Amino acid sequence: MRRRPGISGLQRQQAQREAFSDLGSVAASARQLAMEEQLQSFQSQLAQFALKHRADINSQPAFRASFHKMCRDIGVDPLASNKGFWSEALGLGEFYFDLGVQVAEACMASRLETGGLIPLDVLVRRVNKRRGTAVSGEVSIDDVKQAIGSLGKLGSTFKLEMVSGKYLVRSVPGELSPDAAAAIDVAAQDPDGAISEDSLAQRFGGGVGGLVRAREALESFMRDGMAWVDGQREPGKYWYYLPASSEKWSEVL
Amino acid sequence: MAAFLYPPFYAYPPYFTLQPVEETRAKQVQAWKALIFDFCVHHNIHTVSADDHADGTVDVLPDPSSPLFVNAAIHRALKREAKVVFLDALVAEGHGEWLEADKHRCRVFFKTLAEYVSDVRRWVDENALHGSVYTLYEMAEATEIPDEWKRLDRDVLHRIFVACQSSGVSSVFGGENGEDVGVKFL
Repeated sequence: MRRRPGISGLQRQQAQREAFSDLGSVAASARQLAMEEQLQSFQSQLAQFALKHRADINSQPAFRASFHKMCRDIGVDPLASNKGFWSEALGLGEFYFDLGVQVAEACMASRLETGGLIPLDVLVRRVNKRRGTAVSGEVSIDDVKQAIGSLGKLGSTFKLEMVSGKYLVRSVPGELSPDAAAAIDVAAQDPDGAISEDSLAQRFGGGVGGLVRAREALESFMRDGMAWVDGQREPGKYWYYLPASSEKWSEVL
Repeated sequence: MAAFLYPPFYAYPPYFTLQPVEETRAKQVQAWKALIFDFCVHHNIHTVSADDHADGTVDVLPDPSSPLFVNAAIHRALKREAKVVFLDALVAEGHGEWLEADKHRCRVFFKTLAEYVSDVRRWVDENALHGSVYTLYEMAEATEIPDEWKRLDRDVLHRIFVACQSSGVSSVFGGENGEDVGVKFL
């Protein structure tokens, strides 16, 4: 028998909807409660874990990296604040704060020689040397990157630059232009990190245009104290040495 | 004597070319000035020449196998212009003195003249040598003279006592031919 719409039918439908939505919200709030409980227990577990393994986290770079990844995955940032639970539990904020200071110091010290551009791996070695790894354990490339990131948040001039697959840390204000990056790349082919106008001009496609670009790039390196000139490598020609491009010299000088 | 240990920059080619950019040059001058000084102290060298030699060698030193301004291993040598700049810096900090107005040879002092003068003054006071007279020749032999001074070149020693004279610590007399220079402590 076909039912015709009637007032009681509509009322029944309405009641049904309300019942469903009540049930839904009860279920949802139950779920939310459960989730909150879970999250809370998870956080406290994480905190316990962190406390228990604090020494490992602070001394083992690999352990530290995995811990960071885990924290990131669940949306906890142990570095976000220097106050509060995480930094108190771990001293992690402090860890990166100290590391940031050491990174800054190492950059300053090398600035005299390299003009403020230093390969990341060299910087890491220098920072480890400064720290004296016997007590605190070595820091990794990831740690230093992390610390440079934190320094960056302070609006500092420390910046990671990627040149042909290699990280350089820049500790003086300014941008690395594509031409400058190309120069660093070409210079890196030479064991002493040396480059001539001609070799760079070739990279820029040769001709007068290439030469002008090469000259500008090298002159700006000279002005910034990032390049040294050598007039005795080839008669009548200058070669430019970029300490940042040379494995050997960025380490020694 | 232990071999002289050259600093790392001594093998970096551009350090042998005078840097045109002021900031970079300042580092270069500082590094070379310190090297020249350490080198001279180590080898007990009192005079350094800024002149280029016809055969390409640059400095006259007691031991040609340990040069200062030439690094044969990397085929680099300092030019006169650069040497003059570095030695000028040594002179400016009181550790050197040009022997000629046109800067050919530079006398190197291991201490500044002021330091030497105060050393002499203290030594005279401590040993109550006021009024005593020495010739430079005697000074090289006398046991009471500190070894540090005996190692010094006769000309440097003479120069020190001339400085003492202007400070009223000693008076210098004679000395037309070097050997006969006499010093009277006041």
